[in-house]
Amino acid sequence: MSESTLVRADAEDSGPNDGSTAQPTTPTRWPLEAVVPDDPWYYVRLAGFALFSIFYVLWFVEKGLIIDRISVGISVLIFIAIGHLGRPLRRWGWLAFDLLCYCVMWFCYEESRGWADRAGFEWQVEAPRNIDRFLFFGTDPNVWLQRHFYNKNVIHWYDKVASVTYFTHFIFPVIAIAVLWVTSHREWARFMRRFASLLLVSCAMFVILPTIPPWMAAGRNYRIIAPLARHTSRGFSSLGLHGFVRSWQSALDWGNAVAAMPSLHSAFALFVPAFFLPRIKPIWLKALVLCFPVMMLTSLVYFGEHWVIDGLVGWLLVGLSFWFWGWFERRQLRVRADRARLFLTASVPA
Amino acid sequence: MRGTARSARPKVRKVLLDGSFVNALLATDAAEHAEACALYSRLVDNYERGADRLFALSTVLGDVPREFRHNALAPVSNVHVAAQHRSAAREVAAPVSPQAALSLIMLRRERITAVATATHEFDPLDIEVLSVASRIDPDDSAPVPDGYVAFEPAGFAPPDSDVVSSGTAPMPGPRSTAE
Repeated sequence: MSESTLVRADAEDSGPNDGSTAQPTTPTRWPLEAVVPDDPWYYVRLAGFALFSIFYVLWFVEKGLIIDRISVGISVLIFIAIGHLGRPLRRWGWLAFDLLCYCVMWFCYEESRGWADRAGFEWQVEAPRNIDRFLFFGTDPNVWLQRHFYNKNVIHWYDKVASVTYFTHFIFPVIAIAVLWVTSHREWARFMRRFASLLLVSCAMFVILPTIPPWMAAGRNYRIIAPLARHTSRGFSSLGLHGFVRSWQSALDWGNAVAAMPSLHSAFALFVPAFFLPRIKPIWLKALVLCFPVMMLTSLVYFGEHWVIDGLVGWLLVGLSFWFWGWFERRQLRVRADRARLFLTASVPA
Repeated sequence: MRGTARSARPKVRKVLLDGSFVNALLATDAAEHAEACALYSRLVDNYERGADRLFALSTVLGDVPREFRHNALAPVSNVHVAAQHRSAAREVAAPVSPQAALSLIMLRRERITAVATATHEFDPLDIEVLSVASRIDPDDSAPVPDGYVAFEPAGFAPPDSDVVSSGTAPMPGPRSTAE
């Protein structure tokens, strides 16, 4: 780097300027922020985000959290539109295309979930129970957890923690997608490639491998494990967040009940931390973040929502998705670098 | 190449290849061609390792031959320049050419931390400059614009007043590298 530079003659740190010399003790350089004008829209966007956050919190307190796809879509759209205020038209064009892809992805997901239980594939009833029993030496983990920790008359602190953990599924991925969309299109694309692949494979498994959840297996139609309480929303309700629970209960009515394998709850709980893990420096924080998927799976099993194997398969799919796209992206880098090197080899004589 | 990181280097460095650097790569008879190729080779190595991400302005990439864009510049991402960026470039408070002013705008807007160049225009700025520009004899250097004084070690040629995009705006207080 050239150490020569250009300084103002009247710069304060230029040393005494007696007219003969102007030799500063240290070279000075202009910070970029000082010479490049501010983007006036930056502050508009900041104000917009602040307003959005205030309204979101007020809505959350008054009416509960929004979880249905349409409302979530609208709130994400508003958030992203704020993030694009004052951006060039071309960026809005990208946004429109991205939104189209995003909507198609969720539409396919919802349609396949609805179609999965009518596709005619045999329902998996005893297989997941048997695998769980094998993994836990003959014990049903759902039943064991409820026998040791569940009390229908008392809501313990861990009921609340487990309930909150369960419901983060409807928040964290959406926040991650929205924030990445606004801050870095490239990172958003990386995230969505992995995310869409995970959904695609999961939907295929919902169709091919319709699996009943533990609460259904314990019900009167099957009775293949001891009775289980499905007390997922209890802890959340006890925190005063009834609106969210009502939305969730109504969502259950149109959801596919035999889409237990794989568990997207545990998959997303690993997915989001895994994506951001490389950006986290302290080891203890990494370890803490990775406790979250374990908490989620434990909660799911405790509530009787999923078998342990459902969660493990969800994690496996996340791992495969990250591995595949990591390999693909590295390959892309290599291919492009090789093309550039070919030019350099031809351009510069040895 | 005389490049120095002046601040803590982020894990993935974003490098803007400015027009002069791309021209030096393209023009085999340019004085800086060999040095530009050597620097670009290192940048491509870093790109492959995931340490650097390379960018160039759409105004620059639009002017290079298609074949060159798709092969030699395959690792380079396009930074689209819009009318609002051109407009902002006219307000840059530094004695630089319009092209460099546009680069400065995009550096800030896209949070790009380094620039690869074949000119000295970015030298006075507190950014990481990867320069392949030849050193200039101080005796041959152009006159210093009003309000500035050049000091040793020499090697920086202040831009000609004809190409200064917005020389009228006052420069803000300088920041020392020793801070």
